[in-house]
Amino acid sequence: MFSDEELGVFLDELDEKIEVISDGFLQLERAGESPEVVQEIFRAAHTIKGSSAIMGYDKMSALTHEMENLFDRIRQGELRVTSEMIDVLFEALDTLKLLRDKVVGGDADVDIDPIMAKLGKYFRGESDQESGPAESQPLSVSSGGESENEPELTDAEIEIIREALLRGLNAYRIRVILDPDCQMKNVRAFMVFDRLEGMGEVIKSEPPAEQLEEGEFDREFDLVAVSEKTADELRQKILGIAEIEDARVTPVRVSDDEFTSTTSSNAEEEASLAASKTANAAADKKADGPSGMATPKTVRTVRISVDKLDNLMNLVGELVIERTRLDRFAELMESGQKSDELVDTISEISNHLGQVTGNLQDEIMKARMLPINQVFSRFPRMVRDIAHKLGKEINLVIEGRETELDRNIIEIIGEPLLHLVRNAIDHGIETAEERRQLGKPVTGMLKLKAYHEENHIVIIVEDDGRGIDPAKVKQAAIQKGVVDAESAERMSDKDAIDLIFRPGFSTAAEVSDLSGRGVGMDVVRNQIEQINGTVDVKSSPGKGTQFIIKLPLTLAIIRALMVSLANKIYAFPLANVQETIQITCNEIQLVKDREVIVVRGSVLPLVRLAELFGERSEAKDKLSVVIIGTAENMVGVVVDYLIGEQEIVIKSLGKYLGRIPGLSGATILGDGNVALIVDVQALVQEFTRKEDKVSARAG
Amino acid sequence: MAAKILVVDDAAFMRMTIKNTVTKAGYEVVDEAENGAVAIKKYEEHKPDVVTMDITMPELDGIGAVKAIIAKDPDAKIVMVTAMGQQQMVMEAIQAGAKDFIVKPFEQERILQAIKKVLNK
Amino acid sequence: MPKSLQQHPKGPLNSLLQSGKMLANLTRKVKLMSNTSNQLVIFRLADQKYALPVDRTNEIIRMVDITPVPRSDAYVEGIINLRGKVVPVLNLHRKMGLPEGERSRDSRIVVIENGEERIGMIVDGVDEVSTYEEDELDMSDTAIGDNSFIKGIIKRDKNLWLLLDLNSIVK
Repeated sequence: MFSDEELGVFLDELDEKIEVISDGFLQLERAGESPEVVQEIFRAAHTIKGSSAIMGYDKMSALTHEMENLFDRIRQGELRVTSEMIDVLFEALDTLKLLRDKVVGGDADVDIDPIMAKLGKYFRGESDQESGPAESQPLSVSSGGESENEPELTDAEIEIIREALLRGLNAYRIRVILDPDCQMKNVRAFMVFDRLEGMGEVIKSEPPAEQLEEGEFDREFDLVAVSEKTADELRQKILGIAEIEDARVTPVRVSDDEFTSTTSSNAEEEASLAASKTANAAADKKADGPSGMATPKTVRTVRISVDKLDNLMNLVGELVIERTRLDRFAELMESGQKSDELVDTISEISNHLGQVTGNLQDEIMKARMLPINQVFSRFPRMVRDIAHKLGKEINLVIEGRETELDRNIIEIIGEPLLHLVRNAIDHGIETAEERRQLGKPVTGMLKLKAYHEENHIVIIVEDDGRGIDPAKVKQAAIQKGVVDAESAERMSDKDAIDLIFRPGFSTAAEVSDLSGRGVGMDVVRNQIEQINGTVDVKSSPGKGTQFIIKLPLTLAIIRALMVSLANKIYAFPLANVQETIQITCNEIQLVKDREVIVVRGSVLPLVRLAELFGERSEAKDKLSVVIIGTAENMVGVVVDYLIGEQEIVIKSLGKYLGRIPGLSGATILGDGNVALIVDVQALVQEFTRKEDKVSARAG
Repeated sequence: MAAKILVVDDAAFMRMTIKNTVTKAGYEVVDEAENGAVAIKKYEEHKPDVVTMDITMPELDGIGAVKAIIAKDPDAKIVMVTAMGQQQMVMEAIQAGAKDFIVKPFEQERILQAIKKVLNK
Repeated sequence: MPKSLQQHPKGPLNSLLQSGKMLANLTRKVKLMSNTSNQLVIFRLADQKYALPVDRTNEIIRMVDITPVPRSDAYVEGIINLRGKVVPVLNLHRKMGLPEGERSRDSRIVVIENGEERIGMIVDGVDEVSTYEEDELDMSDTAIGDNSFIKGIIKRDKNLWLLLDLNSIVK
């Protein structure tokens, strides 16, 4: 059947095409019929039809077939797009999405009959067969990654491969595919052999060489070869021969019992093999799709499994660790007063290695990046639907959709953005009538904007609606017990608006089914902070609101402050560290039996990490305090010693340990030991909530 | 600069067809040769980027010409222009150092593809 | 006892490399046999012999520095660096309510596979890799008693091996 990788490629492409269709429908609705858009939709539907049929998703194939037919008529000028038709089309798109969800594990049965009937209505009476231009177009989904006909290797051949691997050569399986109308196939095969012999050795072919020589094969044949060249070099070399459509080169691994005692699991090797296969298959797919498949938007890509990228990232992590070790070593030597050439050389190597790993890290980081359009692209449709429902007119402006973010962040940021967008439409932007009376343009503006700023990505969600009234927020906050009247009184407008992020607060005057889902702004802030981001709000009543989200570029490697506690090392993500200070015991005050310190006029709760983590800590008069959190929610954390800053690679604690309060992961240190990473957000939450009233009063 | 091509074929019609095809695609045909011996001389003279080489020709056939040219310039890019049934000869030519081949009668696309591929290397 | 960093300047990777041929052989044997389900790793725990199915066993390593994880369950000894991966290590004595002895030169960490994850378990020593016949295995309640961590008992000559129920241990 189909492997996970194949399914992955199928789903990726399905999502891509669904997006094309969705965009296309919106364009049809906004700008009317255009041949290019119709053609694009037609082609996307056609692609899905083909690949879903291969995968055996009959309903999806049937539905997209019907869509394809409809667009074929439109393309031929036999049908016109009407607004009623667009509604039906959106319905079909929704059904298609349901079918997609079912593929990924939804269990609801999807009934496609009603929508099929509606679509069919547009060309009822005309007999419609599996026919015409649809079938004549090449399928854009290649059958790449298949493995059924790969030659089995005999023991002797495996021995040769093993030998070759030991000598540092590579072994590959190569599938060569000739042009459909290739002449003198046997000579082509001969040429492939000829080229490969120049770069290595062909140890097996399927069909066997004698049959290849006689031309007794169809369009494809498989080879196993050893060579010192890379897979890509071989592939390019073979593709340099005329009338060869494709060459898929995948590395062969042999189980390694015989020559190494480490026990890297076979599963891992298979996974990486499969990943490279998918990558090749995907690359091939792009390469052999000259039929104008590439719409202007599409970037040429190779699909790489996330696992593989994660592995690469881990390897870079190892390098970073080694570099840190070397740094430390150089430092040690320098402090040893032995200032000679050796020390200079080592510092130089260390510097250079630092540069190289830095670059490598950047490159791999880039490979993990996805354009934020992956998230933004859902909004046009959603905004349209909600605005429709509420009778509002909204112009959605999207800027910087090509801005790239780490894929992990992309996965998480969707939810909070969705909430902010919903809020803006629901509560921010007024109805057309209201806007007219206020003398504002009838069409409201909602802007999504992303851009790169230093080491951050900034996302702005902005509307020109009614804005947030600080007085009303204060009032609501007092009512809900989020804050007491006295402190509300003293708050600046900015602080008052920030109250919307407090737990238990919701600005919704009336609960609508759109944003009144019990997900408050506190959850939005939480989600963003989970990925080491921050969110800020600016608003002027009557003019509009702006949410500014700042996100780190990646989650995998961060800078951290290393501290020691009971002889063990802990890491504080630097993004959440405000400063570090030394205090003496008599600076600690007691407020309501809790220890607090005053730093530049602010009262901060003090947490003794040793106590929290059940460790025995040294009794000292001077205490090292790490101040963590955001400007409005700070906590001082007492540790034994401050060690210094360093880059760390975040590793998960794994499913088995699960979530441990106060810890967000682990990292591997230069000496190979494991250090725990402190979950700063959780600590701040745990201790500011308890201390809220205290700090408000004392401040 | 357009790649320079030397067309070798004993049939004038064939030379013309090839010349028209490659000229239309933007290549420059620097010269033509009607047999292997002339081809070797003209190769020396023009140092073309690509040679299209017929196999059966009077005086010196294509394989002989390939051997002679490759002996002087191992990097010479020679595309054999062959006819059905000449499998053995094509293989011989390739072993002698020809870089690719096409089969007559050919569609224009094919010769262009072959030229493009040998030039890319 | 948690050990400080200074005491182990070379780090666990080095000790892994020095761990000698015996360990490598044993691990390889584990790997080679891993197709069959009747293979067992026999290990000691508080003077009793236990058995673990080979096909769930990933490797056996010597003791390395273990970083304790505060606020985790008492039977979690901590986490280790296993060739760049962070792997939790369980204290089987504590998990199974057995008396804890001193760590010795024989102590090992048995790394098992649990879904996609790996989990280490501290044992007092690994004896051998062996097989068992169906008729040597007693899975009846009378044999097991109310010990939920034991799946069955294997009797071989004078030996008695308690077959560990991994699923209930790593649940």
